[in-house]
Amino acid sequence: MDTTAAVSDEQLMLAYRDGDAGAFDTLYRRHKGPVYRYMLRQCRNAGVADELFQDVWMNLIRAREGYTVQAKFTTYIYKLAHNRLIDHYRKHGQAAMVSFDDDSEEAPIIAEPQAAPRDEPEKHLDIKQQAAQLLQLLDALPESQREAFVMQYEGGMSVEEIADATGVTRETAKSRLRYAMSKIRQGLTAWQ
Amino acid sequence: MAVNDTNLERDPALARLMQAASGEQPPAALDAAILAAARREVGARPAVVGGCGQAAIPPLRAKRNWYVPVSIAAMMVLSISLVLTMHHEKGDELSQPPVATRAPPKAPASAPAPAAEPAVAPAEKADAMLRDAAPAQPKLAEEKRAQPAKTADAISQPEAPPKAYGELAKKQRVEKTEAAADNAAALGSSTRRDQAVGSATREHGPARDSAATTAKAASGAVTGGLSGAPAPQDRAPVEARREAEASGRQAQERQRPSLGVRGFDSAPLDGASGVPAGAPAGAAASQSASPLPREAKLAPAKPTPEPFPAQAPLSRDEALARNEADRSTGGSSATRGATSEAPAVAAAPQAKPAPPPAPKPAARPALKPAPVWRGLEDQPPEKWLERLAEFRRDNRSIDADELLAEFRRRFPDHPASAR
Repeated sequence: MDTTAAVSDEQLMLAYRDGDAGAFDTLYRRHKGPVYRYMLRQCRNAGVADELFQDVWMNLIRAREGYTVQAKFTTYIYKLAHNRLIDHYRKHGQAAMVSFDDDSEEAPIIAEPQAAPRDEPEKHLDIKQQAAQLLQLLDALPESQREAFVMQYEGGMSVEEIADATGVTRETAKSRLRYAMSKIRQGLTAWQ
Repeated sequence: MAVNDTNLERDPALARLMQAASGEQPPAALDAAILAAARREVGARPAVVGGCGQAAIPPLRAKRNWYVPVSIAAMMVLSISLVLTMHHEKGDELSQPPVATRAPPKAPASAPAPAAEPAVAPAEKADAMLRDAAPAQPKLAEEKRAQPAKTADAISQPEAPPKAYGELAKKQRVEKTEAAADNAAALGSSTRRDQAVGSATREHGPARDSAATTAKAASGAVTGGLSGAPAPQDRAPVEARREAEASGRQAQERQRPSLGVRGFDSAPLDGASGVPAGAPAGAAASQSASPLPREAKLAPAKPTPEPFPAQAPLSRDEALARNEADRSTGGSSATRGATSEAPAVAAAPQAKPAPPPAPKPAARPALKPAPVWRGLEDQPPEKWLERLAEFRRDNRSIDADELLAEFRRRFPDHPASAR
């Protein structure tokens, strides 16, 4: 069992701020995959994702001396990632293409399906096929909805944390997440 | 909405699907670069260059923030110190007079008096002996005794030499004086001293007695080991004279290496007249018939254009004879040497007297040679004769002659004196 598992992210970051390089190693190992996949899902380019991913962590390293625990570390690191992504979009003129104002989208809200039993997906499809289907559904989502969904399922963040990380209200974040969940579930059900 | 909020919670089935689809990981090189940057940031480890084509993590600007102010401060300190150093050096150069136009160093007025005192002591000793031989000369002796003070007064008023080269000039004067004293002693410089005094007397008349005394004192100081630097205008002739004297002395010493120099300049001169102090007034005529016939030829004036001709080195006998002739002839010797010492004397009345000698009292008595009859003053004639025989035995003919002359002066009635 990892002895560092009991140490929270915030404590690790504080330790790194105070000069403990090993704390950063632990912190990085915990969050490198989800953050990287967040970048990869959002920009859909491995090279760009690598660059943005490095920038996010470098920004974290530079900001270590001013770090204080004001929120969960996950919220903090995804906030850095989100801001870096917005900068990337602006820099490459993709801001117009990416719509974060999909809250007013008059997308038909699909009736919320009942929660499927846990073993239902495995009954019909193997997990890899369903995962590939999920990724396709993710790519079809708008940027903001996809971001909210990835933050929840990759970063394990709550609606409030997503709202804090993305700089929107809680309702906006919840709406984005609801749309994302609805579309994905519809897609998975239709595929079945 | 409560239902919707519940449905917005993390779906485990979707979570499993997401986990299955989450195989992507950042490249290892990227991991290493980030971790290295993190370690470098806290100074835990040296920088690691990212591999696999990854550029190295740029050094953090915060680490380099102190370079610029520190280098600017260092530049300013260096520049200011350099400017200050240059300013200092320039100031020193301006404060020192140029070497070519530098005035000759002059010792303060207090220097001559103590410098002349040691020279007086041997002179007084010689005077005492001369008084024994010629008691009719107390007045001359007193005048001679008062001469150093007079000389000191005659020497120009002090001009404070520049501090920067005062010590150096003093040292050089002492060295030159010692060398000149040696040369003068070897050549019987009392003759030249007489010439200088005579020249001063002839050219400027009795009114210039003080100047003549000054020149004589300077010459006497040089002869007796005092440091009497010549007047500035006379430096070149004096230097030439010193060289000639040095060469002459070397030649002389080659001829007679065993000869000592004694007793030649022990007889000081009277201030203005140039008459030897120890000689009676009427002795000049009788001394002209002394057993030194060659000196009679030197008595007439020999005007020579050179300041001090590089004369052939005098033999010991010649020097002795010339000295004796000077003592005897008095004023004529002044006339004789007038022109030869003209530059040295002419400089004296031009309100630029020779700088006073640098005090070196310890070395001066050693340069004053002792008379050959030293220690025999109170001895009976037999002791004198023994010493005379000893000189003859050692082939010290000059000393023997000198001792014999003194013996005859002291013991004129002794049978040996008649021989």
